[in-house]
Amino acid sequence: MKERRYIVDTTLRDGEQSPGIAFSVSEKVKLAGILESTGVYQIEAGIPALGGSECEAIAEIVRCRNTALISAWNRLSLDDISKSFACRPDIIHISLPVSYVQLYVKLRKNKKWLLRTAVECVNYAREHGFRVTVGYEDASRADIGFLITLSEQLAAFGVEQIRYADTVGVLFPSRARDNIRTLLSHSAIPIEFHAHNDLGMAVANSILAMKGGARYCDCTLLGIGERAGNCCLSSLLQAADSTYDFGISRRKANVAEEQLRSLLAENIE
Amino acid sequence: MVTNAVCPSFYFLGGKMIRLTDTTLMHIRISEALQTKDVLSFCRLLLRVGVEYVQMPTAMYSLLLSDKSFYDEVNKGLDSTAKEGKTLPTIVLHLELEEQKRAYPEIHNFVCRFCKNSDDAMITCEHQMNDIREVNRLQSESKRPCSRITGLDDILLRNYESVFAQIQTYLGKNYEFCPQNSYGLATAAAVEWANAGGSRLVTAFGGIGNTAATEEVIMALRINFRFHPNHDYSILPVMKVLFERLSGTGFPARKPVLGSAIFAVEAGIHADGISKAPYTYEPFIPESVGKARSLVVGKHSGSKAIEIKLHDLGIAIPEKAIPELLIKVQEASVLLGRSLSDEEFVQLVKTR
Repeated sequence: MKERRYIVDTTLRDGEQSPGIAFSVSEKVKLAGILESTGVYQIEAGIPALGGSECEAIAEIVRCRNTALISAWNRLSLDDISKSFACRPDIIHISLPVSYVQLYVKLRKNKKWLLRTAVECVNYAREHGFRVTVGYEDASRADIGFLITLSEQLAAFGVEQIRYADTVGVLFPSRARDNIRTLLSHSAIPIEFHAHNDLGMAVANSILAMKGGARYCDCTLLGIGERAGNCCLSSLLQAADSTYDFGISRRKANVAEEQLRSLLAENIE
Repeated sequence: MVTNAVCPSFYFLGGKMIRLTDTTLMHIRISEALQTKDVLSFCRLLLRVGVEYVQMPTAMYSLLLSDKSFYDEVNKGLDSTAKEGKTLPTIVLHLELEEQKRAYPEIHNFVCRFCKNSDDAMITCEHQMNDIREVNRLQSESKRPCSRITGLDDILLRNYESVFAQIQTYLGKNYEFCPQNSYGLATAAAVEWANAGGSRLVTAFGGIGNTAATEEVIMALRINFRFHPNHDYSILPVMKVLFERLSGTGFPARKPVLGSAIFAVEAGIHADGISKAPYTYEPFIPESVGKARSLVVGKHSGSKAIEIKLHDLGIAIPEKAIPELLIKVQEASVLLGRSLSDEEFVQLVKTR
């Protein structure tokens, strides 16, 4: 019997962040419906902090969905998170920049600030009745010891899931697997793996991360996403459908990709 | 910067050399339209990015011999592992039958799928393997001087580290691996092979012919194993143009390493990060692979991206006007269903 794994689709968030792509409210709602019909477990619907039509789209996706969980992506900011509340997603996802380059160079903050702010944001979302998942942005270039410490502390505050993001796509498969194993050996929080395809290894890294114990795998239709894109849903299914039970119809996933291709026309190819 | 120097042509992995053989020319159709000079330019650039061996069919080799510089280089004996004076990778000829070797006394490296003679050190015997269970039949190949394993498309789905170790037990170290790409895992399999101690990889530019992509393997080895050769990867776009001309096929805009859009950025958080330090959101600097970063504005832009775009275009507006302009940019982008061109952005600034 195949082991169960769960697809978190981020076509409507990281996929749409691909330069050149901008979905309207109706397109996002339509795509969410298509994604749900394939059987994806969770749909990352967008970024409420963008405001306006993005919030409208996320709220409408939540209203229309049947089975898929809907999550909203947030920076580590109370303001951003408060904008998510109005969309009423099932899950509030909070992204933590965890590598030293993200923390010290981009944000010009330190570890102590990160942990304090993370706890503050997690508590804020949970107090408002939301399930919370946390993303380790640039985890593949972060100190694994620091990630373990973070996971141990976040577990105590009710974080349900940790996203391990290879933000700049520099991992290779065995390192992805080993890093996930290491994290899981120190923390019981389930891991979600988020790959980028900069070196052409997003699918392989995702598969080996699942071999290492990642329960959730992030994908986008057609692999759209920043730079060289994310892990492509149909490619992942083609490679790993015989190994894992994703609860997804390959045929429907292919149809969904064709529908997105038509929508984007020349923008993505 | 493009230099003419031929650099050391092996990738060091923990002090060990990785030898790359590129098979792109195996998949180029020979026609009247094919320009010999393009093929040779492509081969010379392969050497510059660190590919030491180039495999081609005999028909392509015969065609290239019509070029005097190629003929001279091959016949001067530069078709060897000696680096001095080389402008081309070492030629590996693909033979249908090993007896054909006699027709090419100037060549020292051959690949043949149907080998009978197990002692000929010049001939690499190619074994097509579609299933890891076939690896057992390599036991009988242990006396062969050099072998190539082609296929094993799904090896990463299996216990591949044990399989790699098993192959090494049977064949020793003088064997090549040419992972195939039916599951989109070939580049990763090549990198894992090197990580597990393999030293000879067979790839093709852009992954043509269902193989690992040469440029992806090169960059993955460089980034993950901290080997920084002095190779000049800024010539990759030139290779891409040559490849497209030779093969008649192009690459998607998001093709890793080669794609035209891989260094475009729109998201506010990324634009902000890159403005502070490019390596926050880039796996390698664009210039290292002959590309340039570009900022587009659209639905996902933030205030910082608008500031940078205004600065890039030489437009000055009051700082307090930026939030309002950002909203207009986002709304226009959603209406258009895409990012804005610079002209559209300037128009929005004028009408704000």
